[in-house]
Amino acid sequence: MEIEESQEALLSNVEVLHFLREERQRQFGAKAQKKNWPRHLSGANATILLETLTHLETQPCAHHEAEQVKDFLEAIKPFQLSQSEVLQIVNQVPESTVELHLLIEECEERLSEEQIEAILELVRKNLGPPVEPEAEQEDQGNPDVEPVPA
Amino acid sequence: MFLLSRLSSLVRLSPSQWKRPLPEALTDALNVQLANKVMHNVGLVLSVYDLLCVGDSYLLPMDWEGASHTRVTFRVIVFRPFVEEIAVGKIKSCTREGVLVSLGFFDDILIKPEALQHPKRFDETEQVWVWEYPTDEGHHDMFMDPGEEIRFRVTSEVFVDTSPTAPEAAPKEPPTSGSNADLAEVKRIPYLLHASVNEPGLGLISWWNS
Repeated sequence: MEIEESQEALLSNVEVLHFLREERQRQFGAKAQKKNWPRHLSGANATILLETLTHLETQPCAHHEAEQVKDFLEAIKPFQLSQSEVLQIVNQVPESTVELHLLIEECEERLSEEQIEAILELVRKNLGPPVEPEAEQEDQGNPDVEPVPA
Repeated sequence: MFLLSRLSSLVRLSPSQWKRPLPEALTDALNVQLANKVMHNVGLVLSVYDLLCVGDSYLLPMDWEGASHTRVTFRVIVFRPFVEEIAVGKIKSCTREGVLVSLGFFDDILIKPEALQHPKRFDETEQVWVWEYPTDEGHHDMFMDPGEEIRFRVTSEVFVDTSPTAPEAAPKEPPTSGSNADLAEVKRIPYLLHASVNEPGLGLISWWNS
């Protein structure tokens, strides 16, 4: 086994999720056809696929479509964020200012308050959870920096 | 969190595999070797992503089973968050050494006590870490219970080569309990992530949702 390039490209959670879903489909499809090759071979990565899928299905990327993300990438360009910052925004889908501050380095110096609001609005519009009738209003997330005593 | 790595390898296929489409047989053989394994200085391999180049297959005179050997260049999906990356996981357990966080498919994430929100204490009876969040009248206890969702920042990664070592390294006396020896070295965890939660917005998700 030779390592030619250990970090060739970064993948977003959505891309990994979609690949894993297809891969599961392929394995189940193969099993359904009852081809007579050793079953353990085509299921060698089944454990890790299942565990990773379970994790990713709980993340914001679970309901993202490729088109949505493309639109967002186009819309976020004017803010001149680095590639890894944009990647993290897509993965994490920040809902409040404090979350965005975590993802963007030196957020205060680089972005004005209006720009931060604009980014959050873009995130809500393009990547936010699918609109549910009653949850829509309360779900906006208060950008309050103070933690709430449980 | 995830990235693609380009690797190449000589893949051995026994004749029983020849009736299958070659790319499929190669992919499965590679997954058997790599999936769910940590590659040193690469990360945790999830699965083969695609095959870039499949060379000619050879029968080698010394292979008594008559298996074919094929040179393949391929890409794998690897779990390797970059340093400074933010991620969300679940608390697996709390010990004096810190908080262990799990992502479901990856368990070796450690938040050391000094990387927790300050001021904090370890509750011996409950066996959990507590953030003593200061309020007007004293402080409010914020518990870090196992199973809670937690947002953290990756601060460093430790790869340990876990391949078998020469015999003279083995009979070392076992590490004295309670010593602060490096967790990764003692348990020989191949890939350990250190994380921190001492920033606004980090820690239990429920702390910051109003």
